[in-house]
This record gives sequence, C-alpha cells and structure tokens, in this order.
Amino acid sequence: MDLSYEKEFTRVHRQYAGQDTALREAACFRVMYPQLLPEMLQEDAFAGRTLVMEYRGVGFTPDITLYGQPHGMGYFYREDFFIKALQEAQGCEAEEIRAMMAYWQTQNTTHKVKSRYTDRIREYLPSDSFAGDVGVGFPLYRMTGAFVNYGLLVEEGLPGLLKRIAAAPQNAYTQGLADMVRLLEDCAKHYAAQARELGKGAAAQALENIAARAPSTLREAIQLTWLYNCVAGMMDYGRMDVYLGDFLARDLASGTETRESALEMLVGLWRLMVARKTVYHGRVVIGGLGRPNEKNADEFALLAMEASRIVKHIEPQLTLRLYQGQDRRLYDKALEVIATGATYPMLYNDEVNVPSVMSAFKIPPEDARQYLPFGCGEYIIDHKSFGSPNGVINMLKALEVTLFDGRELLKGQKMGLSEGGLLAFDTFDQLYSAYKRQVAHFIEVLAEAEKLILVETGRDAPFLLMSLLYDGCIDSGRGMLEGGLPWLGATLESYGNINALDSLQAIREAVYEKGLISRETLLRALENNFEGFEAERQTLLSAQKYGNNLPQVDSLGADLHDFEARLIRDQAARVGLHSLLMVVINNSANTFLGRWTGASADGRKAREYMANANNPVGGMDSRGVTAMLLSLAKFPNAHHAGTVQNLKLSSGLFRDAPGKVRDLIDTYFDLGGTQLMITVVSRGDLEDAIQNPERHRSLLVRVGGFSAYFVTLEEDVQREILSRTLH
Amino acid sequence: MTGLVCDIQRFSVQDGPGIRTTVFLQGCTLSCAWCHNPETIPARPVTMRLKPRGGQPDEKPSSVPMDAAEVMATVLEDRPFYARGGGGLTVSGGEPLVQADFTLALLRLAADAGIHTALDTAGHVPWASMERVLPFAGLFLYDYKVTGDAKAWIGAGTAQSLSNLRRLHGSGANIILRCPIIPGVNDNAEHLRGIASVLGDCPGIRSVELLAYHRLGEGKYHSIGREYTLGGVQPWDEARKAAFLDSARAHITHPLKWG
Repeated sequence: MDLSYEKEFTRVHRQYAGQDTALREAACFRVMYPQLLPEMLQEDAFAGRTLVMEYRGVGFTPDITLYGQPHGMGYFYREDFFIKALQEAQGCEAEEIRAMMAYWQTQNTTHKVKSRYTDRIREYLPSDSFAGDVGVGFPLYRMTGAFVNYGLLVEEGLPGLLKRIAAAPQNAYTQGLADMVRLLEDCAKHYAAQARELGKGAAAQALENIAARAPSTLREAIQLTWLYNCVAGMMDYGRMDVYLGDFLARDLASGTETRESALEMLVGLWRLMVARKTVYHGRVVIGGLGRPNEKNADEFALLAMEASRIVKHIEPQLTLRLYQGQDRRLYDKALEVIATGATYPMLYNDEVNVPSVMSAFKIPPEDARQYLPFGCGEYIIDHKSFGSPNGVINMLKALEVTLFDGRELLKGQKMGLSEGGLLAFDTFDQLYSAYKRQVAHFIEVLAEAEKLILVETGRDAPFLLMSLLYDGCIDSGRGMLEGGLPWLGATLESYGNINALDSLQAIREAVYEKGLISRETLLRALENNFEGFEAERQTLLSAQKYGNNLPQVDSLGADLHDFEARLIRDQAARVGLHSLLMVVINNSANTFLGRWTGASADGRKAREYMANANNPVGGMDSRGVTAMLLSLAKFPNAHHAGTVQNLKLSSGLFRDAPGKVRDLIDTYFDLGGTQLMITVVSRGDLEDAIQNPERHRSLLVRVGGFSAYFVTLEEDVQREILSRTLH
Repeated sequence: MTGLVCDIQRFSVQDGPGIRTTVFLQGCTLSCAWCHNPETIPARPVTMRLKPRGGQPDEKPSSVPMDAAEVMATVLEDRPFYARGGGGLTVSGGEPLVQADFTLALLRLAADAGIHTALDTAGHVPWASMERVLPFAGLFLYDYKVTGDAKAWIGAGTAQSLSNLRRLHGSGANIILRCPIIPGVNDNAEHLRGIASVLGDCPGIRSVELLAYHRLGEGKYHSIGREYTLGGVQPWDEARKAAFLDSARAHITHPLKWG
C-alpha cells in the first residue's frame, strides 16, 4: 500500500505543531490537493468527483460520513485504514505506521475535542455510537450542513476573492485563506490539463478561465462552485437558482447556450452529485421568497426540476420552496416531476416557514427569507448561520429510562435521572412531568457538548475553505468557529418522538384513565418484550394513536413537541450560541436507535424501528390521508429548525386527479404544514404491504378509476396491481 | 337518526368535485353482476370473513349502526380540504335512498354546515324518496347501467330509474350521468345509443362519466360467500378505454370522459 501521502500529511502536520492553526491547515491542504483529486473521466461534464477523503487514512474535511463508521471532522484518522496497511507492511515500514497511528490517535480533531469533555458530558453521554450502543443522548462529530456564499464565489471569482482578502486585516488566518484560494486556482489548472488530454475543450477552457478570472458563463460558474465543493468537502449546494440563474439568462440571451444544452449541463452536474454519494446531503434549493433575481432564478429552477426528472436518483435532494404569488409553473412542474416517481422536489412552505424561522432564530424577515434546509432538513440562514447537528436525542429511550427509574432495558445500564419509575407516579401528570425533566436533563447535557464541540474544533482548525465564504470571516480576519461568524449555532436531532407520544398516550389511556393495565403489569410486559403479555399489547395498540386527527393524542403531541423545541432553543443563551434548535428529520437513525430501544408502551417490540421524523407510526394512521395531514399540521412550528413529513400517493392519483392532489397539498400548507416529501407508491411498497399489511393500512391505490385501500384487497388482485406498478 | 353505515371513505376523489368524503350505506334495490361493493346489497348487515391475518380469521359486519351526527363529525373533520375544489359529502351505497331518512339527515346536516353535497344513486326507488332529498343534494351522480333487457344484469328493469331521472331533470337538479361500462355486457353501440337517447330526453344533464369495469371487488364476494360471476371478464386497459371513448363520442355530444 502506498502511504507516501499519509506520511507527508503527517510530516507537515507535525512540522506545524505550535504554529498558527490556519497556516497548518493551509499547508496540510497543499499535501492533499491537487494530488488527491480524482481523475476527470470522459463522461464527466465537469471536473471534480467523489468524496475521495473517505479512502485515505488521514486528511482534513468538515464531515467524514461513512456508513457504519463513527463521524469525524477536521483532521480525521481512520484506524481501520492503518490496521490494513500494517497487515501489508514490509520490514521497517511497520514501525513507521505504528508511529503514525500513535500520533494520530491523539492528534485527530475528534479525539482532541472529546478529551476536553466535562465529567457531566462523560457521565450522561457515555457512548458515541448511536448505531451500536444503548443511550438516550449521543454526540456527533462533524462540521456539517453549511450553506456558504456561492453568490460571492461566482461574482468575485478566485482573483476577486484574493483581492478581498488582501483588503482585510492581515494575519495568519487571512494568509491561510489566500493560500486556499491559490490552491483552488491550482486545482482548476490541474483539471484543465486533464480535460485537455481528454479532448474536452469546453471543460478545459472553463477551468483555465476560472483559474484566471471570475466566471462569465453558466459552465464556468458551475465548474467553479463544483470544484470548490469537492476541495472544501461541502456537501450541500445552496440556493442554486439564485447564484446560477443570471448566468443561465445571460447565456440564453447571448446564444452561448440553448435550454437543451443548459439542461444537458445540469444533468451532467446532477450525475456528478450522484457519483459523489453524500448519503444524507446533496441539497439543491430552488424557489421561495427572498430571491433578488426571481425571474432568472425561476427559469433555472424549471430546468433543475427537469434535470431531476431525467436523472431520478436520491441525489441531489432537490428542494422547492413555495410561496403564494410565485410563478405557478414551478409548482406545476414539481407535481409533474413527482408524478413520474422522482421523489423530488421536496416541497417547503415559505408562508409558514419564514415566520417560524424568524421566531426560532430570533431574526428579522429579510434574513428569515434566506432559510435553507440542509441534509436531512435542518434550516440554517444562507451563509449567515451555521447549524451543525452534533447531538442526537432518542425521546423514546428517555421514556424507557423514566419508566424504569433511570435504568434502560436492553443492557440494564443506569442512565439519566432516577425518580422512582412508573410505580412512583400516581397520576399521568406526574409521569409526564418526570419524563419532561428527564428529557430536559439530557438536552442540557447535549447542549453543553454541542457548544464544546464547536469551540474545541475551532481551536484545532479554522476550516478555511468553509469560512472563506461565510459572512464576517474575511472582514474580521477570524475563522467561523472563532468569532468570525456572528451567527454560530447548532441543531439537535430528535428521534422517537412519535413512538414516545403514542406510548405516553397508551399509558394515559390504558393505565391511568381506564385502569385496564396496572403499572406493575405494564413494566413486566415491557421488560419481557410483551412475551406472555399479548393481550396487554393489544390493549396498548388499541389506544389512540397520532396521525388520525384525534384531539387527545394530537394535543399531547403538540405540547410535547413544543416543550422540546422551546427547551432546546432556550439552551442557546445558556451555553452561548446564536441558536440551538431542534430538528425532527428523516434518515436511518430512527432504525439504528430503535435497535437499541426496548419494548415500548405503544405496542412496539424491542429493537424494532421507530417512526421516521414527525410521521405517524407506520400502519397506525388508519383514518385516511386527510386525517394524517390534519394531525401533522397541529404541531407548533415557531421554535424549531425543521420537521419532515412524508406523504405517499399512488401514481394513478396524480394521473387521474392532479387537481385534487394539489388541493390536498395546498390545504395542508394552508393549515400550517411546513414541508412535504411526496413519494409515489412503488413496487417495493406494494410488496411490503402484501407481507406486512398491518404497516400499510392507509396505503391507497388507484386503478382504473377506482381507489381502494390496498391491504383490503384479495391477494390475487394485489398481485395484479403489483404487476402493473413499475418503479 | 341512525343508519347502517358500511364505510366512510376520506379523500375520495371520484365521487364529485373536489376532495370528498363518501359515506357508503347498507342496502340496494338492484343487484348488478359487476357490483364492487356486494356486501352493501342486502338490507341488513352481512358478515364479511376476510383473509386470515396472523392466524386469526378476521370477521366483521358489512355495516354498523351510526348516528347521523357521528358520521357528520367525521365528514366535517375534512372541511378545510373541501374548500378549494368545491368538495364535500357524497352519500353512496348500495342505494342510499334505501335508507332515505338517514340519507336525508346526512345531506341536510351537510347542507346546513355549508359543504357541497352529492348523492350517488341508481334511481330505482319510489319518486317520493328522491323528491325528499332533492332540496339538499347539490349534485346527483345518477347511474344509467344497461340499455334493453336489464333485469338479467342488474336484477330489475330501468323504467322506474328512467322515469325518476326525467322528473329529477325536470326539477332542474344538477345531474352527472354515470355509466359503468362492462366488457361484453354494455360496451356496444346499442348502449351508446341508449345513453344518447337518455341525454336527448334530459339535455340539461351536465356531463357523462364512463366508469370502467374493474374486479377490485372480487374478494368481497368471497368474503360474504357469494359467487363472482364475471370472473372471465377482462378489465379495461388504457388503449381500449381510449378507443371506446372515441366510439362513444360518435353518439354522445355531452361532455364525456372516463370517470
């Protein structure tokens, strides 16, 4: 294994010990790039591919996200890489590898951050592995979910940025920034030579141009931003219709591009995003309030949606913001694209979200109009705020620990507050209050950890390329984590919310109100994962569930949701952040955390997945789609940074009744809905519904002018529908 | 006022304008061979034995008694969704006018609440029943099923239904004619001429919706121990639907579409 890169990176990092962190970061980037840039391929529309850092032993990146691996940020160290290298090592190289390992075990940024944890953080957040261990709260290590000022990048170009930096206070940080801009120029030249060799004249010319001056065409603007993203490790791509819309309009007007050729470029860009596999990121935001070049941006947005219709992949996560008065063609196009099974664009409702963002972030409307959802759906303010989600809370696990007096069920570990458990609570209100105290306790500790992660990470590195395009950093001569960015904030991911809600409701009904199950019996049923307690489980399952527009459970849910959101928001002032906000989002964490959560009073068995984001537990929303949306719309939205809702509709519905689909969405948004991710029912959904009908009770299919709940149909009819359902 | 309610289907999109809630009532005066809700035909609830799930056979009555106010509470939950497209309540069946008092109560409550109302009827009922609901039904989805000898297919002749339709039309009611088209039964020129003749008698009918035969209700026949006699009939595919629509347009000048 060739370790020359790792050795050189290590040597440079050592050499800069004791020197300014900006100079060290810039020098380390010089080791990485351009040499590690993946080769441009013949099929690539633009230069820049894949998250190459994932394949090296050490390096620097804001967020190294790998399936099944702990997260890491800044200077990362991959022990598995070195262990493999050690196995292949010859002679004295093994010693050298061991020395590198010993060095990086203590010098990687994540380790440095963790070594500064307080005793309280160590006690209550003992594990980093939310996918592999029991726990109520977990820290995450990453500087992720930034939206930088791409507008500034394409307007100034690399030489223009150098001029800006030269006009700022001169210090090690701004010197580092200038080094990084020159590095980007070199990377452009590096790729220009490759493109020439590949005979890709237009691409080569664009790369040469952006090394020398500000971009003047759509191709150059895309190339510059894409190259920046690849080198900086940025994974969310910002308000693209705004920063590219004028380039598109100019190129179309001058005849440099046609709509077809521009679309081809976007398809090419989209394919590179697919290849990059950011997994949870890849946000491209279009539409919405606060776009100064709205007309041009709209034309770009239409083209972007067409690109998503063609590419049809999980990335980019195309995100359409909607407001009343927006050019209707955007919404029409969105529904047309969704109907083809593209999943995107996701729809965001500015009418609700802008006021919510004003309130949650405590900012004026002109800033709130620049809210952008990144990754799984966390809002930040475009190039003005940072909101990395570096903490996770499992609300259902918090309930488990509350019921069992500070003990969790799967390993019997003590964790959290001990207030006597369910037997000590004579009323539901006592239980609910104790649960809230438990949640508050973990949120306080998580807030302290998140603040510490930001501060200590900033102490190790200024994240030059990211802060280069963040407001306040060049002008103040300080990195974004070190006071350069005025609105430094964070987000906290909350999972298991709906299972916790349904569990609380089931306990309220079955134990406290109707007396159907005693507290002792409930505890035994949960400890035994309902084995021997099936009757009790059925009783719990028949309690009111969220997602059916039932007032009691929905109002409990609204109370719990807003309690948690306010609690987290109020931590910002306590720990010293501009904002700290709850997000209730979609990804696989609900499944991972579920594996480490015992049986719950909503009837869920131990280790089963929990409901995703704010959505009802699968199969529990049995009163139809309108009832589900009515429930969803009841949660207050003024104190968090994003919740995510899924809606599954059949393709036939889009085909036969598009106006009614639109009425459904519009009404949901009128009622206060924030967002919708609409998926068209797929073959896989139908197959799963045949196997597990109880999870798909609300799955509506439409065939030949007739709608029916799929699970109520005879199996042969189901098979027939399945045979007609393509992807 | 209590009635026998088979189902309350929310976000119903095929039974009138906008987003609707369709309430299906027990009891019918016809027994169409292609009926996709056969459990609604008897006057009293029948036991439906659904596929066993989790080892336990799932049994339920085809309908349960419900108070009109209770039904309306569910219907009115979706009031916000009705506003945009002029949606509302559709009462269907079975033949909803078998439970004429209950249907009247539902329509009246909905009309009082200010939401749009529709009645899905085949009209094979005494005129008096229809006359009573007339002031409260904003729209009639009126079935016309077979031209010529109907008894073998729908269990009754069409004379009463057609007579009621004419009287309804004469009263100025808002009517959409709905025609289930069953391959091999009524997908023919004779029936299209029959439809055209009905429209000639009742030119004020707003539009005609053709309802494509499907066999999604077959399982329900098994669940109530009835034989499904149309097992050999192939459901429509899109190409045949398009071709039939073309041929129908040669006879029918009213607005026409597959519903």
